[in-house]
Amino acid sequence: MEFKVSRRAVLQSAAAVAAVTTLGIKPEHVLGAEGDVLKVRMVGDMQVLDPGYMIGGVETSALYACMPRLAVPIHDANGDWAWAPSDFVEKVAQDDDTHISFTLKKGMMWSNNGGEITADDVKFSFERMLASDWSSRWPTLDHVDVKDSHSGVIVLKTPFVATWLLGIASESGAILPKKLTEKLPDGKFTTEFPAQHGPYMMTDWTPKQKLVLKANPDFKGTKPVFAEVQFIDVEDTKAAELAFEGHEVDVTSVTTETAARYKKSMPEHAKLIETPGPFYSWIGMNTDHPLLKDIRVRKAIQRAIDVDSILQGAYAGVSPKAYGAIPIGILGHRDASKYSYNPEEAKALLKEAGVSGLKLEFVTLNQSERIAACQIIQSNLADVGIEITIKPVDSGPFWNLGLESKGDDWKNLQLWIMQYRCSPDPSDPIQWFVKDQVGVWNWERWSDPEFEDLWKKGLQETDSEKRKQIYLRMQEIMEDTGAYVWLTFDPLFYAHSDKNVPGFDPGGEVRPELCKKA
Amino acid sequence: MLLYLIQRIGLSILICVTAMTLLFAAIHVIPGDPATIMLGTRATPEVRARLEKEMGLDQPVPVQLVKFLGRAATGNLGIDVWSKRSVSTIVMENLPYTLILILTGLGWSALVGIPLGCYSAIRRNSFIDKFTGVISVGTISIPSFVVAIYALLFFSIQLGLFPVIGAGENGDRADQIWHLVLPSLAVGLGWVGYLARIVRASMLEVMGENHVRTARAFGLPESKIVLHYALRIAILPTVTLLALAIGGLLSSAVFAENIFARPGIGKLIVDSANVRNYPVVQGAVMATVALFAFAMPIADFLVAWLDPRVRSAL
Repeated sequence: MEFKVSRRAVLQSAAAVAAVTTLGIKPEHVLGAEGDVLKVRMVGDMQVLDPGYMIGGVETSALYACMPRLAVPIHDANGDWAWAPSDFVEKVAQDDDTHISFTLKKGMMWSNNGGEITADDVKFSFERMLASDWSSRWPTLDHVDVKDSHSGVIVLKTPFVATWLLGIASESGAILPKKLTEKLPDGKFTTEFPAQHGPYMMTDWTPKQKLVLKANPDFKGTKPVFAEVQFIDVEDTKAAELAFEGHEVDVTSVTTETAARYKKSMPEHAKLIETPGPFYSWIGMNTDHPLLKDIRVRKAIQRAIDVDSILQGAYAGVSPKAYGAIPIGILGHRDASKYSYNPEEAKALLKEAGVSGLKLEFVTLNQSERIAACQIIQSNLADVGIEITIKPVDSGPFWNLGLESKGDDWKNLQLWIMQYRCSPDPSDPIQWFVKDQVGVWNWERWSDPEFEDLWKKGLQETDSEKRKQIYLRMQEIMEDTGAYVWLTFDPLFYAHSDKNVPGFDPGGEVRPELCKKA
Repeated sequence: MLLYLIQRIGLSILICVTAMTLLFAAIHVIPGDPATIMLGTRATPEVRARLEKEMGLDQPVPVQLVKFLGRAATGNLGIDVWSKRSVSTIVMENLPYTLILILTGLGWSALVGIPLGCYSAIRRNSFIDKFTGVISVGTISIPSFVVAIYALLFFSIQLGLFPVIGAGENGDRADQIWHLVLPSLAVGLGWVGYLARIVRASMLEVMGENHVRTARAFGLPESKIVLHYALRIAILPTVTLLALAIGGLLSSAVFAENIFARPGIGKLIVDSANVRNYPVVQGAVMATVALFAFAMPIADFLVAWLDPRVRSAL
């Protein structure tokens, strides 16, 4: 067949190119999917599903939905995160401080002809984590003893209560198919599970567009409500909010500004969920800096800053006030502190310290709410005679500021706003303030013998009430250094269709198997 | 002709190399440790070191640059440090979406701009001509992201006529076209004015030439003279303009892809830059630079092919 392109044909057809865009349009394409399909916005595309090397986000959702595990995170009677046996086990329990026994249910089969899920898979999966990027989730794991095909014992080197919430019940506790994973190059995988078995099966992934999970007909546990869950990639939050208002996604996170707007006027057929986030924010002070060495100066700053005004002015009035470092919903959360906004007391403390005309530099990430917070702080501190220069910086230089390994910036560091993210065990948010972290992530650069002692006890104490008291005291010690002004636990806001009720993991990721119809 | 083409292609390769060198310099001038930014506060020094090694950041910058250019010459743009997927694959997954968006945007602008310019030239100084002048300046001066946002708010959110996000279901061509309408309108609208102005000017010139006067003298219908004899010549400058438009359209596509959460090379660059995923940023920028650099010689070739006068002049 001869194919000839003439100049005339090119010129004649050029005008017709745009016309094709008007062909084949169907009104039904505008409508979002309904019924048994739930569309959830994902903040970023899937990258690595392997629990040892994952990043977070939608990978967490996929791991909970598509892979077996021994335990799951739940809320206890106090509203704090705890754990419960999963649908995959006959039994899982802490036998003593260093031994956790488990028995898997029989007859659970891996996809991809992977055979039955066995205790060997559990041993392989957990011990594999020790050499992974997420080994910090299993700091005292020694090994897993396999008793028979379906049961075994997890053996810890030293007691570590947080093993449950940081490891076994977290995304890092996903069980992998040993035989199929070992066959992979480097024994790792990225965007495709070697085999699956969960309430859902990952059936389709279109990069930068969507991830599709379909209900697993072979799953013998609690059946998921939605036959299909689609995670739609909309990385820009404002675009996601428009997509939600256009009924193209059923569940999306929204910004605090939008949450404040929705609280006043919700879009039709929509609801707003405020869920405690894994974030904690505070104003930090460098206790090693000559201008801040005097604890009376630091305490003056503590008392001179009006946190309520910051929350109103910079956080749209929708973020809860913080009284410590442990977020809401985690054992050891504080609901009061020993100081409050009191400019007169601040002036008195400065006078007592013999300080006047103090000039300080305040560093912050160049994000709108933090800069707004800095401006309020600037005004607050001016009221007590402290002059503040605000220095907004990009994330690159900011994260190097307190690291001794990255230069001498830590020597000049004075005041800053910080936000960390944590897992749902109290040891996780507190770990960055121990002595070993001075010059690493303890930018406030203090240490305290009692704090160090409590840190060790907190990791091993199995009694919830005693453990709670340990972490409450540790936050009190932090506060008494004068180096912290607690700000907020930035909550996560989700808008969702009034036809469904989404469920979440402790990090605020949607767990498809927990989503219900309203 | 062949020598001319070789020279132009060589120049395009030089443009690509220069652009990538500048990008490398820009990336390394930005303060901050990419590994720390990517991994956040939870990362151990070992994990950060491993990531730096995987990204090649532990090597001197000139070595990184030479290695990248050497690999790129063979079509290997490296590996995405997160997903371990080939950057070439990721770029090739996204590039078609951008090309379709740009071509459809151009289609919109050609469909509206060429007849508009043509009609303005024929009815010079008429109300339509003046109105077209206003419309042209208006469409040129409105940024594509403004068009995108208002089109989205009005046609999708307010009226519910078009989809808000995405590129449509895989395998459903009609759905994909439906998702393309607003983004391509946003991308192409600005070029309606450019095309209308250049076609008008070109038509006015051509309509005054001898062969048009001769055609009139022979009593040919005016419509045939315009469409068959004048427009065919007048449209040639638009080919070069359209090639130049690729650069502008790529930047418009960045906005459209992000506002409509539509996959594409622009969105890929923005998303990757936000998380400092440098291998993907480099690969995606390389693709866009190459697209622009090679559009020009292709346009020159097309013009030479379509116009024998140009060909004989080379």
